[in-house]
Amino acid sequence: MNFKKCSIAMWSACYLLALATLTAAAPFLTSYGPLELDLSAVLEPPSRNHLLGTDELGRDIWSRLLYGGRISLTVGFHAMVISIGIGVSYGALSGFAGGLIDRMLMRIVDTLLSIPTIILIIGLQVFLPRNVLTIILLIGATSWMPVARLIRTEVLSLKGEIFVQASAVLGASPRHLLLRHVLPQTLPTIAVMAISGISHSILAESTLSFLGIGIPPHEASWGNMLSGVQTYILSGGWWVALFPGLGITLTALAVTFLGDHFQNRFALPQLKGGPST
Amino acid sequence: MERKGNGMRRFIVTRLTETIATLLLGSLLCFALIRLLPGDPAVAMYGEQFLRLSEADQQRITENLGLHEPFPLQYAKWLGNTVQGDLGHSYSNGEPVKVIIGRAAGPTILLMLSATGMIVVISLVLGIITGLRRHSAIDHAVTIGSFFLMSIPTFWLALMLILVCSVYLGILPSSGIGHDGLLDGLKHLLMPSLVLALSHIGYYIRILRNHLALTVNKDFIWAMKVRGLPPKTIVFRHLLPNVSVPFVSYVGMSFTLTLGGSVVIESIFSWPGLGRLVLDSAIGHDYPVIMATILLTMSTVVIGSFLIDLVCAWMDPRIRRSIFTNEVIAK
Repeated sequence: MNFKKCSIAMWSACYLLALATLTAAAPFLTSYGPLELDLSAVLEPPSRNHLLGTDELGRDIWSRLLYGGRISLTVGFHAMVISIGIGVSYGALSGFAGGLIDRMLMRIVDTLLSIPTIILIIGLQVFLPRNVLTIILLIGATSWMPVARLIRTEVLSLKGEIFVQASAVLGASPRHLLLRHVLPQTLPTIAVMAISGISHSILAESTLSFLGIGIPPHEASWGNMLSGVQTYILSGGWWVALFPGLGITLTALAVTFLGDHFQNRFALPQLKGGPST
Repeated sequence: MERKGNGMRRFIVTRLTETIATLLLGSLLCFALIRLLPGDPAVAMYGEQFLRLSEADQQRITENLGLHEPFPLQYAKWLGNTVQGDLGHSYSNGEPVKVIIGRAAGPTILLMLSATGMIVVISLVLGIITGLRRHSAIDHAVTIGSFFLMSIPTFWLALMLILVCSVYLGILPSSGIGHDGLLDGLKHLLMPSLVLALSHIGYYIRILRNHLALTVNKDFIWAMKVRGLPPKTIVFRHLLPNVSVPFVSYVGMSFTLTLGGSVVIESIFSWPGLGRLVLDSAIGHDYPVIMATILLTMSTVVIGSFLIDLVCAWMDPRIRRSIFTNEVIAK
C-alpha cells in the first residue's frame, strides 16, 4: 500500500516537473505563436501541422496549451503564496491572542466563509481592473480562511504544550514564543495546505477565465481556452475543449496526489479543505 | 445530572447569538463593499452622465440617495429597508431587485435540492462500502475516482457530459429548463444536478470513508464482534449512528458548495437561477442585484448551517456541551 501510494506521488511529481519544463521551453517546442491567428485554418482537427488542432480563430492549440500553462501555473503558485501568507498570520494571531480578539477574528472568518468563494470573487472583481495581477490577488484574498482556521486551532493547542509554557516561564517574549516555538510546529500543516492551495488556485483561475471574468481574453490561459467553446462542442469540435481541460485536470490531480502523500507522510488529520468554488 | 432540554436550550441561545452576529457582520461587509467602491457611489449608479449634471442637481441626487448622511446612519437605514424586503431596483431594467431574485430563486433551489439528494445517496452507498472494505479493489477504484472528481473543473465536466450525452448520444438536452411536463423537466434537471453533485461528491465519499474506518477499529465495535453480533446489526445499529453526526454536519456545508457551484452550472446549462443572475449582473455592473444576491447567499448559508448545527446537537449531546467547555472541538 505504502509503495503504491508512493509511486503515485512519484508519478505526480514527475508529471509536474515535466509540465514545468515543457511550459518553460515553450518557444522551442512550438512552431506557431500562442496568439497567432490563421483564419484559413479555423477549427481544424488534430493533424501533423497542428498537433492538437486549431481553435475558432485558427490559433494552434498545442502552442496555446504550453503558453497558457505558464499563466495558469504562475497564477496557481502566486495566489497560493498570498493565501498561505494571510491565512497563517491571521490564524496564528487569532489563536495566540485568544479570548475576545480570537472570537472576533474567527467570527469574521465565519462570515467570509459563508459566502461561496466564486460569488465573493464576482462581487469584488466588478470594482477592479481585469489583469493577471488582479486575478492572483482575488484568488489569494478569498481562499485564506480555511488556512487561518486550521492554523488557529493548531496554535491554540500548541500554546498549552509544556515546552511552550516552559519557555514562557523562562521569560521568552510572546513574539519569540510564536515565531520560534509555536509556528515551526505547524510547518507540516502549512506545507500540505500550500499544496492543496495550488490546485485550488489553478481550478479557480480556470473557472473565472471560463466564465469570462478572469484572465483577459488576449492572453492564453487554460481557462481562457475553454471560454466559449460550448458552441464548438455542439458542432462536434471536441479537440478545442478536450486538451485544455485535460491540462487542468491532470495538473490538479497530480498536485492533489502529492498533497495526499505528504499528509499521510506527516500523519496529519484529514484536512477540512473545501473544494474550489 | 444535566437535564436534556436544558442543555439544548443553552446551545440554541448561544448559537443563535453567534448566527445573528454573523448575519450582521456579513450585511455590514456587503454594505461597506457597495459604499467603498472606488469613486462616488452616485457616479457608479448613474454612470458618467451624473458628472455632466449641474451642481444643484448633483447635490439633490446625493441627498435623495442619503449619501450626505454619516456612514452608520446610512447602514442602519439600508439594513432596515433590506429586512423589510426593499432591496432597491436593478440598474439595467429598473425592476425591483426583490422580484428579479424571487424569480431566480426557484430554479436554484430545485437544482440544489436535487444535487444534495444525489450527493447524500451516492456518497452514503460508496462511503459505507469503501469504509468497511478498506484497501479492497473497489476501495481503490472509488478513491482514485473521487480524487479525479475533486480535480476536474466543474465546468469542464459539464462540457464533457454535454459532448457525450447531448452531442454524441443525443439523449439529454444541453441547456434550458424544461417546460413540457414532468418528464421534460426531469430530463433538463438531470445533467445540471448530476454535474453539481459529482463535482463535490468526492469529498463526501472520502469523509464518510475515513470516519467509518476510524470507528470500525474502536473497542466497542470489537466487543460486539467478539460477542458474535451479526455484522448487519453492528453496521446499521451501531456503526452508522456514530458517523451520522459528522456526515450531517458536512451535508450542511453543501449549501455553500452547491450555491457556489450553481454559478458555473447555471451559466453552462442556461439554467435561469441565482448563479446565472449574479454572473450576468456582474458582467453588466448591476450592483444592486449583485449585492442582494451576495446578501441572500450569505444569509442562506448562515441560517442553513445554524439549522444543521441544531440537528447535530439534537443528535449528539456531546456537541451541546462542547460549546461551553472548549470551542475548539465544537465541530
